[in-house]
Amino acid sequence: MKKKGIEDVKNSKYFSVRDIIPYAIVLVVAAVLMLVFLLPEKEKMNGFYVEYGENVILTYGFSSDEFTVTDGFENNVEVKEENGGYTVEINTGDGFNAFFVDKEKRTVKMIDSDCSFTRDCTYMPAIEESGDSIICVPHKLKIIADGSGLSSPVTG
Amino acid sequence: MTQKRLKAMIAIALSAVLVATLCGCSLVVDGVDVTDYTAAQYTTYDYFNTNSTVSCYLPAERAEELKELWEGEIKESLKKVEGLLSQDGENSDIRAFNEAAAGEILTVDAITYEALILAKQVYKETDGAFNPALALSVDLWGFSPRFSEKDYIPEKPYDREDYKKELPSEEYVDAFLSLSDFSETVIYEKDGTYYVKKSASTVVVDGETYTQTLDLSGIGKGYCADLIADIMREHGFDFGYVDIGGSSISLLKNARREGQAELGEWEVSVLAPDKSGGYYFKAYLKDSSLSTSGSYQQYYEIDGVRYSHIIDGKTGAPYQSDVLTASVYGKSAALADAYSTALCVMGSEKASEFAASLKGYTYTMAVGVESGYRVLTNADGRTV
Repeated sequence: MKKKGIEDVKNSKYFSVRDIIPYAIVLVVAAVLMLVFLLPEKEKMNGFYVEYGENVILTYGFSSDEFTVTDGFENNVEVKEENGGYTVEINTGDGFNAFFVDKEKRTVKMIDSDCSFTRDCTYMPAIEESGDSIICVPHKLKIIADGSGLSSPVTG
Repeated sequence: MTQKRLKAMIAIALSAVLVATLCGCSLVVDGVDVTDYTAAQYTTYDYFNTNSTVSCYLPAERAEELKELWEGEIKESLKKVEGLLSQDGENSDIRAFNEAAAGEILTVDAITYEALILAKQVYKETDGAFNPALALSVDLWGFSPRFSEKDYIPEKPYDREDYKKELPSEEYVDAFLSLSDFSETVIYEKDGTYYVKKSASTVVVDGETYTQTLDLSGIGKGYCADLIADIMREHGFDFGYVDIGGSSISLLKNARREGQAELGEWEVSVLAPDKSGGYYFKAYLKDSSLSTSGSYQQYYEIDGVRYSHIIDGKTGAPYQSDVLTASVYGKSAALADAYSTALCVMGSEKASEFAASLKGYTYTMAVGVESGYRVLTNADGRTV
């Protein structure tokens, strides 16, 4: 290398901002991928459906904000809009249940049941993630959050 | 093109390759690519007075196969086990035992035999803290299935008008306790046939003669959870779990990343014993089973004292130890169920010592203290 060239190298910066850009892109992409692939997959529910026995009797989507009652169960379901959401009352041959749909938080919580024993379902946490569920065993009623995943097992 | 620009282009190209590679990466659990697995869940309420749920991750093209398995072999197994072990089933071995005369010898199904052998094992190991021969006491205190009916009508000599407000008489408590020595009932096999010889003890109260009766509902649920998990494995469904009433669960593997659990593990949430709807422990498990017992769900209170469905074989009354709830994790949900019941009855001091000595089983317990509860555990997980 000529003496002038050596001096140029000595006087130049180690690297310019532009040199860092490709590496920064790689780092950002790697970080995003870490978040997407390595952190737990928990998706907020988009809606839910209600099973009575082995029949789906009601579905709801947060995006469409629409309830669909399965034919034949119209007289078993009553929906009231209140307190920023809906109170849904379900009366079947097995008993009465009421749950609240919070539109803003996208959660569903069982709030009442007339089963004779300890009303366990009313003490269950609100469901909010894909696959979560609340069961009222005496009334064979189950609320299940939509989604591609299964809820984590809960024991108690 | 300058050398520097060339280097930049190469770096961008490499990162693009990295992106493409990672985006296309698959999720492999124990050698199985589960990336495209979908979820399916089936529930029935026809057995054990609770829900029986099969949850499964599977290839989409096998969905119909799982449905057929659920409608066929799985439901048939639930029906058979419940039918044999319930107290009121038409062909129930336990009903036949409970209705038999003292000292009578009965032939039983292999499933009943196996469940009774498990019950006997835990009865001995726990020095009677788990005792299936307390069915009369369970009924006396108002916790057998007939009491969960809306139209409960007092019909037995010891029934109270309102069993949640009035304690049973001491005479009956003592009488039924005297019939609860499970070691007096003999279980044996001869020439491929299974037999049970009922305890010869009897007791007479108010002119009525009582004999020993059994309640295997707890072990039955755990037994069924294990059985169904085995059926699923036999058919190549290795991802999911079987849940009988939330109290007995048999886990396969998980096909999703979840919480702080390792790949393939399930994050099992254990409900706090305060009815807050929260959890007190998260356990991380795969290919394992668990069962939970406690005093905070089925109970009533009289004069500030809690009376739950778990009867203490030493007193013939609902247990009064400091253990509010206990969960046991290990290979068998049936054994875990019996162990978790025993831990509640033993009380935290004895229970911790006993549970720590169990090979292949771990535990968590919520122990009542003035401020609420504290957690005792040796299980893989975290306190919440």
